[in-house]
Amino acid sequence: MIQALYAIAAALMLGLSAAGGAIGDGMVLSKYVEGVSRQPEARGQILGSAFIGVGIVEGIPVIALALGLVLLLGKGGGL
Amino acid sequence: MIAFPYLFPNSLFKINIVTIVMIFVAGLVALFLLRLATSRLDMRHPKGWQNVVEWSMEFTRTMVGDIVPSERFISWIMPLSFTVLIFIFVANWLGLIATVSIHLSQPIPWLGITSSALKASNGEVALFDSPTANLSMTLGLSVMVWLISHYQGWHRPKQYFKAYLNPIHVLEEITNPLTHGMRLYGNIFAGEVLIGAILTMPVLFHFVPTGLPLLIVWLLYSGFVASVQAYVFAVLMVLYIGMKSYHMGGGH
Repeated sequence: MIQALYAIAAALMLGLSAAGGAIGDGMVLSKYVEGVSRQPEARGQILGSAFIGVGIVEGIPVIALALGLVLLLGKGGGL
Repeated sequence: MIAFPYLFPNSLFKINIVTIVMIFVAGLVALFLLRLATSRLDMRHPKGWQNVVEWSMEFTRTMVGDIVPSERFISWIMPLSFTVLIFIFVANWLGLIATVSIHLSQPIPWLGITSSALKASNGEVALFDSPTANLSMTLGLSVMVWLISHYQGWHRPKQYFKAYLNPIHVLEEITNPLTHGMRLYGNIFAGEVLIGAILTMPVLFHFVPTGLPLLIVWLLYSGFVASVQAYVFAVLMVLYIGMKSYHMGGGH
């Protein structure tokens, strides 16, 4: 019973954060494409900023992934 | 979950020996790589490794200059930001290049390797691991950044306290260091655990490794993540400190 609850908690955490992270990544990269099409010569500069943005947005789902792995593999006692 | 040997395992301040040793190993590797660049200094015709290190210093300088365009702040934070960038880059890559673990059948209670911890890890005990795959280490780094940013803010008390009229900034004092450290930890830890999970995939007929294509793809992605996260950590550190360095031309 408790095991199943931990599995459900990890699945919910990962699924919701993946959905949010996907929306955030999509927004960052769509703005990147918009910026490049408007100013193709600034591609390198915008790419650097876009990667920072992706790295920051990806942070939240990855935090959820790490905590989910700790929940699943450590059976709740891993933290 | 892989088991780790601890000092003082039964007290509140248990110390992960592997992480402490790996911090020093990462520092020594970074020191060796940078000393290698200065061993044959050539001002007129720089070549090879010296060029790479000079390029990375230039890269750090433009990275800081894009965030806080003030010469005084740039020259003040350059040593710290370059050190953090190189150290975290080396630390992230150490865990990708090699992770070493031994198989123990007997628990060692005075090192914190209890029988229940061995059972949860199938007897695996880590010996060589990425130091940034440990939550205490990355949160320690982010708290250090937080302390430096407040020290910088106290040089101009009026502007420092004026920023807190906006309640969002009070909340940010908690969430910024927390996500700053957790982001690095999450990326590196999740990468290493998934590498470990892929390595346990079955080998068909004793010679067809089913996980090999998956492992190559994930290693490439982990290498990208390790580099980007070192950069993101340094950028956010400069941003958080620069936001409070009013007397050096920073500020919101």
